[in-house]
Formats: sequence, structure tokens, C-alpha cells
Amino acid sequence: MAVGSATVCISVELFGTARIKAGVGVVPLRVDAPMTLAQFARALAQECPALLGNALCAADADSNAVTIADGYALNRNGLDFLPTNPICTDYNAPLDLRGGDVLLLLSNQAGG
Amino acid sequence: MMSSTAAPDAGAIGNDGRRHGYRGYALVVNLSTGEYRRDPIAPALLRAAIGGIGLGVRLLHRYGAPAVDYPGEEIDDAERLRLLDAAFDPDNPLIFTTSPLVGTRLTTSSKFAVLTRSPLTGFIADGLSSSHLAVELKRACGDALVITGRAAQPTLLHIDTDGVPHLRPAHDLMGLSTMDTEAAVKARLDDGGRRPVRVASIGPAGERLVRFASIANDGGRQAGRCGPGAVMGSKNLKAIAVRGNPDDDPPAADPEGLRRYARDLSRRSLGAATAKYRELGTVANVSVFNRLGTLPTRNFQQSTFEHAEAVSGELLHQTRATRTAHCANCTIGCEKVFSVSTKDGTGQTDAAGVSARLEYESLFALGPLVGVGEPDAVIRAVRKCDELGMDTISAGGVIAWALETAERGLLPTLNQPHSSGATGAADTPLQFGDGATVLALLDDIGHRRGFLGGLLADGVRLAAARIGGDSDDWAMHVKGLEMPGYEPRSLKTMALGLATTPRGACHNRSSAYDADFSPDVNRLEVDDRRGRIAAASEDYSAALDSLIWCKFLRRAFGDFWEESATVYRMVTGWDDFNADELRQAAAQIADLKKAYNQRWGWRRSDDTLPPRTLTEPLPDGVAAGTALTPAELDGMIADYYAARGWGVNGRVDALPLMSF
Ligand code: SF4
Repeated sequence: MAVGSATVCISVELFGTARIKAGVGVVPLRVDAPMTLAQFARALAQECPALLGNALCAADADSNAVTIADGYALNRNGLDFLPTNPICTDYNAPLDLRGGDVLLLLSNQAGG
Repeated sequence: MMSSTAAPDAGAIGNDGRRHGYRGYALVVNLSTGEYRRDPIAPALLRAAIGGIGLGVRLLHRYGAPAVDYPGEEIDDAERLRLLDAAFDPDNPLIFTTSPLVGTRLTTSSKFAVLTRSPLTGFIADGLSSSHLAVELKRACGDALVITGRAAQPTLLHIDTDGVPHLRPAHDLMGLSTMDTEAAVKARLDDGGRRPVRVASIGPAGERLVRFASIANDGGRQAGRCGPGAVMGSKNLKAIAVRGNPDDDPPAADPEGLRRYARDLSRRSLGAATAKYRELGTVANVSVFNRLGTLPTRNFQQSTFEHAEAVSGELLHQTRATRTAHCANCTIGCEKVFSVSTKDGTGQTDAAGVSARLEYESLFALGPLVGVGEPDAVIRAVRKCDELGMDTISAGGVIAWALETAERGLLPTLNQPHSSGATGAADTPLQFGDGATVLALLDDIGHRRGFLGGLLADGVRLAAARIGGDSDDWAMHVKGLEMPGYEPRSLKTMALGLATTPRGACHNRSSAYDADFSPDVNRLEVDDRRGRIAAASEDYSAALDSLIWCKFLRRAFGDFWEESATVYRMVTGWDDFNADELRQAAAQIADLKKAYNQRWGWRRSDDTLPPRTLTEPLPDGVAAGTALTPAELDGMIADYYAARGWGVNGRVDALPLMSF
């Protein structure tokens, strides 16, 4: 555990194809807080590898970095949408997470 | 039919002197006199209008009945009803427009627009539909088909490869569902071997002037909202059958460039930008909207539904999905067909094999909005609407109002004597959550059967006016059009879009919700950027709807404006057309729609939301306690008018190019 950080329990709710691929609707995660978006994505991929190639993807060929896939969005507690676009988002910026937070992983295509 | 003018041979002339992209005329058919003509459309106007909705709104101004403007005058209920009923006058035109992209191999481009004046709102009705009919319309009718007058008897309008319209008797088609009408027309006109005719038709609801009747084409696609099917019914026009000549397709100015672009766009259309639509379709919205507290439930009394999981796209996909359908020329295929199950989870269809294309709006309106959480009941209800030829959103909306009104004692719940003089539908208990009730009511509405059927067939605004009490307070409509499945109190940018869109409570001509589902704004609060965002979203939609691209393709573009302008150049040969001109064309469409509505009595007070959304905070979900005050909405509307350059009264005074 990094200095000044604590382990917290959060959960990730999956929607759409991500839920079908993972076979579950909710993925509980124990993570260090504060953490970055990159760390969150990697932790989720480790816990739920079925999401790789779908809602999560490898950031590049040479590392084990993971990003939220294009076409997906991340929402905190059903309230705030978080920037996730790998081109214009700093994946190493801290992600403000607290114990009990729920992150929603959903399609970024809102229409219907 | 008699032609009163010779066909013009001029089309839209590209800079190389050849005709590209457009046919250069509209086929105008008068059902009263049996005459037809081909009216040229000037190249400059085609270029300014683009096509689709942009062309249609200009044609609506041109061919529409002369109307009074009402600046500063109050409009009472009797006058309002007269204006609504005037949509059934023979001189209200029913207009089909195509676009320069129709007939190309560009993905999702086989689309057409349908415009008329709505008997539900009294204002512009501008809808889109898709598939093979678009291609045949352009071949046989030119850039537009304008239908005026009223036939003396039930009629089938048949236009074949020579482009000459024929009015054929259609007594034998009356009473048939939209699907059966299409099949019967195809069988009747089948000449063994040639390409099939493509058919647009109305069902029993259109025949009976149900004010939210739709026009169906190509196996169940619908121009659904605002009642174009009722206008078609008022013209005694049961169906239109079209088959054009492929040799009449105007060639693209740069066919090789267009082929390359089309290939690249098709590739992009299969990527992440359209994944939701390809994989689950828009039914995927149910579980998301429920979680975000924006799934209108039981007539907007709640924003979450306790049975959302049972009717979620995820579960439906696993238990009832049978196949994916595509519009002609589409690589995405958002249309998911679902069948009722004999046993939950088996995916087997029952003996009747009832199935329906489900998309989010139909699912929301005939599920959570009426409290129904049983998927088979929703599938049957959607199928019923498609057969009768009715807009699912309005049908669900008006039934939800009736259920709440019955709960509050202003409508009978079951064949009980009632002070209003009303009697209930036979054996139909009016209560939320009963799929059989919904199905029975849909049938009554589609046939205008009984007191309730007749009452609800006029839409929620007129129904509430007739029942009185406070029932207007929970009549969920804007400008008379029933609300789609976006809760405005928890989607503040969308609230503005719903309040100001010219055709009423519409989620298609503006996609202001895009901002609410992004990190760009706080969807639960208002700020002074929303007017600009809503206007920009509306312009973006206007460009999509005029070119016409499917809106589900929109995230597959890089720079939408630059790419679309490039495509337009490749198709038309107008090499000096650029993204700025496209933006200008899109912005003019909002002016033209507003000007049209002003002619038919638009008041500032028409740009608003239902009282419930402005007085009751949300009771449940993550957004519980969130409200939208009248002052907040008014502030956003003022910002929107300013963004449009309309001034504080929201009126437009100068019209863009209208010379035909
Ligand atoms: S994405 Fe859906 S609505 Fe759009 S063109 Fe394709 S099938 Fe039709």
C-alpha cells in the first residue's frame, strides 16, 4: 500500500454487452485510494478478464496498461460522468474514490 | 391520371454542368382532381435545403395551406381545436422527401422524410423512416412526392417505373393491418420477376384518424410521431406503392472518391462508435436509464421502475431475441426482433409466433410508463401498435394518463357508471401494470371503439381537456405530443430540447441528451450554457436529418461537418460547398420550422414542459429530490432564443432562401 493511501471497497456495475460478456452485473473491487484511472482499469481487468476486448482494452502493445474502451463511459454513483476518452484524458490523474462508491461502466451511445 | 405540365429535364446541375445527386423536381399529386405534375426545384434551393427535413420544411411552406399568423393574439380552446382539425383539410399536404445521398452505397443513407401539419400538435410534423422505399421514391418521384387533396374513395397511389401516378381503388385493403396491407399490395402489383414495389401504408388507426397514427413501410418501419398516418387517412389514401427505374439514379460527381469513402465509413460503422446499437440495440437504455433515475415510470410519477431488470435489454437479448434486422444499405443493424416465450428463458416462440421489433422508446412507453414489467406483454403491445399503425410513444403516453386519471377517480375503472358519463372499455380494469388492459386499450384506440377508445385516440392533450378536473396537470406532453422516455428533471439539457423542439416533445430532432450523458455538464443542474448546447445539438440533428444519415452513425464520424461537406461535394459536384455552408443550412432549418409554426398559432407559452415536471421533485432513484423550476426552464429558454438570434419573444422574422 502506498504511503497515505487506504484500501477501500468499491463496486463496478456493468451494463449492456459488458454485463453479458462478464456474466455478472456487479464486480466488487478492493482498491487503493487514491488511485488513478489507469490503476482502476487494470484492477477491473484483473478481477474480470472477460471485459478485456470489450469494455476494456490494452492501452498499447508494450505494456499491461489498460484503458476504458472507446464506446464506453464511466459514471460515479449514478451522478457524474467521468472523462475516459484515452486521447484527451490523463489516465494517471487521481480518481476521486471513496469506500462504497459505485462506478457504472456503460455504453457512451446515449441515443434511442 | 392527367398530367398538367411536362416533366422538367433539368436537375441539380453540378459545377461540371451535369446533374448529380438530385432529380431536380417534385412529383405533385392531387388526389381530389386526379391531376399530377412535376414541379422543378431550383438547384440553388436544393443546395440551400440539402434534402430530407431541410427540403421538406421548405416544401411544407410552399405547398401548405395559407395560414393566419397570430402575433400577439390569444388563442382560445375552440380556435386551437379548429387549428388542429384543419390538419385534416384536403389542402394540408403530405410530403415525402429523399436526399442527395439516397441511392448511393453510403451506409445508413436509405432514408426519407415525411412532413405534414400534425393533427396532434397543429404544428410541423417532420419524421424520418428508412429502407428500400427511399430508393424507389427518388427513382419514381424525384426529390419529393407531394400529395394534396382528398380521394373520393379509399385509394392506392401506384407509381411505377414511368413515374406516372395511378389512383387505384383500395376498398379491399380497408381494415387491414399495415403488414397485411403491404403484403396485399405487393401481391396485387406483383408482375412476376421484376423488382417488387415498395409500399407505405396506414393501418386501421390511420383510417380512423387516430391523431397519432403512423405510416409504415418496408415490413414495419414507421414514420411514427405526430400523426402523419392520420393525415394520410384523411386523404382516403390507404397505401402508396412505388417502383422506380434504377437507370434514373442520378450519378455521383466523383464515383470513385465516393466508393472509397463509403468503404471507409462502413468500416468505421462496425467499430466501437456503434457497438451498443449493433449488439443490443437501443433497448439497452432501460437498465442504464433506470440506474440514472431517468426512466419515466407510471406516467412520470417515478423515474425508476422496480421491474426494469425484467424488461431490460440485457435480459431480453438473452431470452427473447430472435434476429437482427437492417434497413436497406445499413451496416449497423440496430433493429432487434424479439419474440414472446412459451416459458421464460427458453426463447421459444408461442404458437402464434408473436414477435416485434423493439427499440427503447417502444419498450419504455408500453412497459415502465404504463407500469408493465412483463416482457411478453410489452412485445404483444408493440406488435399491436405496429399492426394498427400507431406511434408507440403516444399510445403508451395517453394510456398512462388514462390509468392515472382512473386512479384519481376521473375515469371509470371498469364498466362502472361514472359522473363524466364515460363507460370503461369492456372488461378492462384501468390500473397500472396490467398488460392485458394495455392491449385491450390499444385495440380500442386503434379502432376508436367505445368511449375510452375515442377519447384516447385524440391524444393526451385533447383527452385531458375533455375530462377536465386537474387532469391537465398529469397530461405529459409538449405542444400536444406525448413525452418520450427521457425524464427532464434529471436531464436538464434535454429538458430544454424537449420544451423548444418545433414538433413537440421529441427526442429525435434534437439530441440534447448527449450533453447530459457526458462529463461536459451536470445533468441535474442548469447553467447558462444549455441554450447554446441545445441549439447546436438541434443544428447537428438537422444536418443529419437533411443529408440524411442515421443518427446512430453519428459517433463514427471524425469531424462530422467537414466529412459531410466532402461527401456532399463528391455526390453533387458542387466543389465550392464547404462545412460552413452546411452549418448555415442546418441553422436555417430551425428558423423555417419556427416560422411555419408561427403561421399556425405558435405562442411563447407553447415552449414549455408538462406541469408535473415543473412542480413535483423526483421522488425516487439517484436523482430523488431533484426538481426543475419554471424559472430555471424559462432562463434556459431565453438562452436558447438568444443562441438562435430570435430575441426575447422567440419569434423568427426573416426567412432564408425560399425561391423555387
Ligand atoms: S442503424 Fe438502425 S435505424 Fe439506422 S439505418 Fe441502420 S438499421 Fe436503420
